[in-house]
Amino acid sequence: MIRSIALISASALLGACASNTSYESTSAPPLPLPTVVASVYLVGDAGDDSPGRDRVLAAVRSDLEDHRGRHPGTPALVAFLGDNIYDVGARPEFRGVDRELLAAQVDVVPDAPGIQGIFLPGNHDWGKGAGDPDGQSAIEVQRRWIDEIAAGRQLRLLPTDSCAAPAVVDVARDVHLVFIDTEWLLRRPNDPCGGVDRFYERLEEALASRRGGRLILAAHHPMTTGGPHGGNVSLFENVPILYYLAVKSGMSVQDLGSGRYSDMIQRLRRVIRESGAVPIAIASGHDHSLQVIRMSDGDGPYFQLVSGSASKSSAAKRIEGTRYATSAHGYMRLDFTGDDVRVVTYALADDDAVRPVFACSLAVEAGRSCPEARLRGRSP
Amino acid sequence: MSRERTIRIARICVPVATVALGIGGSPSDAAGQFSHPCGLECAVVLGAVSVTFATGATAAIGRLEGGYHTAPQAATVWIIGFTAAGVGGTALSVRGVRQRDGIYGAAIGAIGGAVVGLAAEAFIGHGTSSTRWAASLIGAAAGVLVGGAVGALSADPTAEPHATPAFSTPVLSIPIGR
Repeated sequence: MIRSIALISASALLGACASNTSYESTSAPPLPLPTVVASVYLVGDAGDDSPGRDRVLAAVRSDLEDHRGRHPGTPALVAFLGDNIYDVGARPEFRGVDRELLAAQVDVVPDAPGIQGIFLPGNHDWGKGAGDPDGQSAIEVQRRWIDEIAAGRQLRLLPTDSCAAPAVVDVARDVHLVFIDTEWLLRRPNDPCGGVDRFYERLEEALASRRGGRLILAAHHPMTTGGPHGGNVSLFENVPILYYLAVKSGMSVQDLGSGRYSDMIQRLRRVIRESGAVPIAIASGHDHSLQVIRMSDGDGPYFQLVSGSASKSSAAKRIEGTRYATSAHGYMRLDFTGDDVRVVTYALADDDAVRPVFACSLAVEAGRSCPEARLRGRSP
Repeated sequence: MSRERTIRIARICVPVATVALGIGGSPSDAAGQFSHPCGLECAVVLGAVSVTFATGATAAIGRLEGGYHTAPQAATVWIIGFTAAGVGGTALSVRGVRQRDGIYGAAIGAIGGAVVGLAAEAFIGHGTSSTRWAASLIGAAAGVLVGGAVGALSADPTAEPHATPAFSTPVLSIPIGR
């Protein structure tokens, strides 16, 4: 008990006094990999009309063009990790504004063989809240708009039905992405799909079906994060105090500390464990930052990649397992080679250029390593 | 001194100075909102107690529901809680001693409740940072209720020096009872 009081007091004090950790960016761009078999771009929370978003999306588009030049014929997938339209998803009555937010993202993906874009819903795409009857219809409207704007290009919103069944996308022979709509899980709508238990059964089946391949689980909500949704706020950097207390005590269902969110994390961990498949990473948005985190749970996915700062930005603190974190706008790219998976983090710099700031191998099982980036101001 | 440090210190100092001014520099008209012997100090404590109760109640309902889906949902619960606590504390002004003991009892109860909440969480909770924070907030809210009730009911109203108004501003005076 005394320990609890001491812990909570200490965390309050540390939270009040701690400043944001900042990492040094890499000084040189990562060396090109000669034998890339597939690339996956992680672009999250791109649904706000901000200057940062325009620069990030332009950089992704340019990077994709480079990819086609460097690795002709190699498949690439752009995963838009949710919150594609701020603040309350697609509204037919505001078609002009909302559709434009989506069009800016769709236009990133060129009409080229082997290149596809997948949109995943986030909490903001689901309307105003659990009681919002238009939540599901907002998803359907967004799906329709994506199909319209794509005009034949390989772009779609997943999962494909209102039952939110996990969707598997085979990017290359042994590179698979499993997309899940975690906001559906948090809302638990009463539908004829069998509810959340059926969802987890389907997820286990989907993961098990690709056991042996290299798996990435894509979900809007992360399983761990050093951002505000993980309760990482500082009292004197995040006034008002009521916001601080709300985040710390997990009052919002969108924060990892809330009962429903933490229950979802536990069940996802269990399903992953029982499926026998070990994803290389979970790719998420939600927090508006870029973070590469090595999960501490031995039987869960090895890495949590948070790429949610395409259009918004919020602080990211160093937590257990953090390899790199920045609050800058940006995106991530995963390059799959024959026996390796490398993540490259691109961030918007002060001079408005988007540059690689961190790269490491996620294939730790194959003996590779992903060391933590050097902290700013710390001697090597 | 860096700008960031200056801002951080200012963020601490301004609220502290505001509270200090509220307690130390109490204007007599404002003090009149609260019955003798419960003066402006009581008002400040009641404000803090109301915030504590509202936040704890919001946390309790949020945890029961698995979390709020929208900010207005949480704000509604918080405002109801704050209003209820504020009205409750103010209504006690018909008996000044009872009001004073009720409000201070609630404040002591909040502190005790937070500790009890943490203890309960250590035994039956999940042991996460969020559940510890929630338990202490919920415990504090429960402590406000218990402490306030004990304080108000155990007060000796015969020690009342004179009749007290519920509100007594220069423009509004509502005498209630003796």
